[in-house]
Amino acid sequence: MTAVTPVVPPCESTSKGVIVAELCQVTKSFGGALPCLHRVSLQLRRGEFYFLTGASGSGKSTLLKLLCGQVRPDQGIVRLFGEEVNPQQDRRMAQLRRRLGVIFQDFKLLGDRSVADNVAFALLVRGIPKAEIQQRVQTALKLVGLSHKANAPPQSLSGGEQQRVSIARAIVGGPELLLADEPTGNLDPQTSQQILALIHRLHQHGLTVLFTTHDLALTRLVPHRILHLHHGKLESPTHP
Amino acid sequence: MENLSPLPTLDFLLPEVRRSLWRGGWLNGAAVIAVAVTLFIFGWGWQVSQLLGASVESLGNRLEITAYVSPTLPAAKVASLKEQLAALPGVADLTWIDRDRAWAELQADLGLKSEQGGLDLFDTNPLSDEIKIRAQSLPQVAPLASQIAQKEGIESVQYLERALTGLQSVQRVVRGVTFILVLLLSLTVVALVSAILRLIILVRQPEIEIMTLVGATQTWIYTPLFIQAASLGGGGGLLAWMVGWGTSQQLQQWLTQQASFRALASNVSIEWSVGLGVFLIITGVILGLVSTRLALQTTASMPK
Repeated sequence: MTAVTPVVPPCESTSKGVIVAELCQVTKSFGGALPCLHRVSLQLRRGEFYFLTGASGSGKSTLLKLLCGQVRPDQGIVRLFGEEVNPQQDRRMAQLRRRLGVIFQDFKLLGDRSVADNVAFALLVRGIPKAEIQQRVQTALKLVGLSHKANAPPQSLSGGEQQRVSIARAIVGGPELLLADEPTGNLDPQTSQQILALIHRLHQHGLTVLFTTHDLALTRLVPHRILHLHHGKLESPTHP
Repeated sequence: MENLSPLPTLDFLLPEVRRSLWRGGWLNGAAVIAVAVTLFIFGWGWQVSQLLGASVESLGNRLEITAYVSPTLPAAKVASLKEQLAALPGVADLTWIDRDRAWAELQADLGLKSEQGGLDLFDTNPLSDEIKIRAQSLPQVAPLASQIAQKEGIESVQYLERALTGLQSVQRVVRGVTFILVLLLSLTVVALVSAILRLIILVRQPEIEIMTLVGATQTWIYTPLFIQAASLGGGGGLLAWMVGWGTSQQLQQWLTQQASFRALASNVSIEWSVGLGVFLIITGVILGLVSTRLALQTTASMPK
């Protein structure tokens, strides 16, 4: 990869598509000598699939946390769907997060609930009626190929299956942007490819995806835009 | 933008509260017992304070002010003085004992008749008219005595000032000690219950993180905890009342069996009322809610 410029000049309007998320000159540190992210600018356009690569500690997870409003930038602005992300505005953030889907390396499934209940949880906390929840959960599980495991406890599933449950939970609310934080980090290569294929299929149905990984081999499997973080700096956007 | 429901639905709330209570395990029991012990002590402190206060109050009412009328006061002014005294604020009752009646009563009290000697020492009745005044309440006795002493025609005024002041001091001390005790115990309970809730929040952190990320508002996330804490507090209040009611029954029964306390037991009820029970439950609920607020302020994961 060659060192280059940011994806788009920071915070400029663009005619290349609707921007669903952007970071403008964002710096974030956690008290260390070097900032975790340093003056990062980035724009994600609707309907695109982005790989975000970088070694461990390069700031990939921090970037996703900034987009989710889990952490605040020290400097710069983070916008989601055109609105500034402000974690202090509880109701506004809840509304923005309902347009996001998030999946994690460690799945974050709740062990005391069945697969279906884990997926339903994302809708239950939004006050959606039970009948509708049931219908949407069935659809989501079907989409990830786990309808037959709806009543199973998550612990009884393989890693790949657990990640598919996590994906079902992320998409059941009908998000516009999927943030995938190292979703294949805990999986073997074959399962990783299956998960990537599943997310790629969702993208083909119109979902915007930001997929972080340290596994460059994965980025060669599907032709998508690649962003690279190195020591907290966004180095090189490459295009397929 | 999706409309946000301001309050959690029962479909969400009831299972979450049940899960949270289940997760709390024995910590729930510890919280209930902590609240119960505090409210039990508070309940008895309240009962004793009320009993003592009532006793002091009733004793205070029996402490009369005795005023002696100057022998030089013209008979024509007696009626006017009576009216002035009766009109003083805080006077519950006023009895005028004229000097002849007082003299006759004194002789009768001593069991003497004039022909038996003794009182024949006096050629004339040496007593003056006497007025017995009862105040409406204990705090009014001292200022009332002072006002009576200033009236024209009053030679002197007597009341059990030292005893009265002492009783008032006891009442103040009892109230103060009860207040301080309750305050300290309440602070202890809030600290304890909030520590327990902090542990429960830590245990539930994965759920809280998921709820946050899928777009739940803080109200939805934390209402189950408030309900849990209120239930624990209310449960503690109920337990305190039940144990207090049981012990008060036993004590009342024991008092009636003791010869020396029989009179006291017949006049005084130490039974814990239903009203006190309701008060303790409400207090327990409030303690639970305050503890939750404190726990959230010190634990809630705010963005850094």
